[in-house]
Amino acid sequence: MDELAHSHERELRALMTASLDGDAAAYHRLLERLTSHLRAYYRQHFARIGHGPTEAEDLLQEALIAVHTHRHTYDRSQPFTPWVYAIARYKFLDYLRRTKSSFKDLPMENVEELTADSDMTAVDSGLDLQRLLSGISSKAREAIQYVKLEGLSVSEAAVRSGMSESAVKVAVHRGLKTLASRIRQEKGT
Amino acid sequence: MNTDRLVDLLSSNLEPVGRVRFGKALLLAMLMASITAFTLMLATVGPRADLGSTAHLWWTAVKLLFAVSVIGTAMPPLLRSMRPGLEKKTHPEIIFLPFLAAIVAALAMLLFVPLHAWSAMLRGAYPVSTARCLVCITVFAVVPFAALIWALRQGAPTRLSLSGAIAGVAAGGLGAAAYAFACMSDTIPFIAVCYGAAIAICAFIGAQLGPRLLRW
Repeated sequence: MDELAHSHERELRALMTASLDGDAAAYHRLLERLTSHLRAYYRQHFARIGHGPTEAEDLLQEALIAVHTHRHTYDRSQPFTPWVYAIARYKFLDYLRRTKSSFKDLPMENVEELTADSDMTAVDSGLDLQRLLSGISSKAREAIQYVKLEGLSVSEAAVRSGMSESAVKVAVHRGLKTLASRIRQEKGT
Repeated sequence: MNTDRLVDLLSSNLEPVGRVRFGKALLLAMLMASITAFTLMLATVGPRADLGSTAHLWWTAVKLLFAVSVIGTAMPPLLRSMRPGLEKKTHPEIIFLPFLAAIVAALAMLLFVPLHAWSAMLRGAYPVSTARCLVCITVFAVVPFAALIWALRQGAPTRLSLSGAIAGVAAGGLGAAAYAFACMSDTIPFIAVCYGAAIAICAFIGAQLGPRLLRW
């Protein structure tokens, strides 16, 4: 890998070998080193898909846990860096798959919770979102605009749009589903 | 949770990890799977009645040779797929070799017989031979597939569709090995087409199930 020089590989590999033998101090040092490498890796990748450093940090932690629970799959006779990055890459691809489906399978109750999390996305990819939004029904567009982009509560959005609260929830839910499938289509081509 | 806190948490009370031999898990899975597939064959279609005669035993050996070489070429990439980071050093393309060899041999055989005899060679001993072969091999492969997925889950495969497909090929190979004792159709073209198609079906199903069953 380009990200790490050969000297890094030698150091990390020595730390990993000591860790597998039960050296907790070496393992702590190794995880600290991996934290900074993988943080850079994920921030870079997440910036590319329009996600912020918060999500990157979440996945970083997930990857560290994966490294820990799968450390028995490291073969001491093989280089260490490709092993770590294969795990990091796998977790990133898994995140992409998962987040697409979590948009689709989002239960109605969680619609409001998503608002705070998606603020960063809205800022980063606002232009694309407006274009994607123009393709869905006006009702859903209005609901998503109020609840997701302007951050109104569902009851406020209901008052402003003249819809009932449950109608706003349904519209947001359906709209996001359509949006997610549109994003999938765009990324697929 | 703060990442530094997580690092503290993971590194405290660290347990040493010994060298893990995934080959053992794979072999164990294959052993259990062979026994189950063979028992299933005995319990359902049963071995062909004339298995004792030399000529038929020879044909069973040919079918077994094909099945075993399919399993043999699927094992190394399967084993490597259990450890992350070996993706570039793994060459799963070798699993096509037994199929290629069978097809070449089948074409060579067909060249020696007149055109009107081709369909008989491809169709097998009975009209139902093709369907029986496809169904039996696929069904016999179910338990081997589950066993291989169990073994794979002890590692950390990173290309789930590919690993699922290779597990499907190996399981199909085991199914074919078990069915070899029951199969009545003694022509190379039949083996190449029917056994090949059955194993391809297993590979396809494995590729579909891989991402669901192997996620970690």
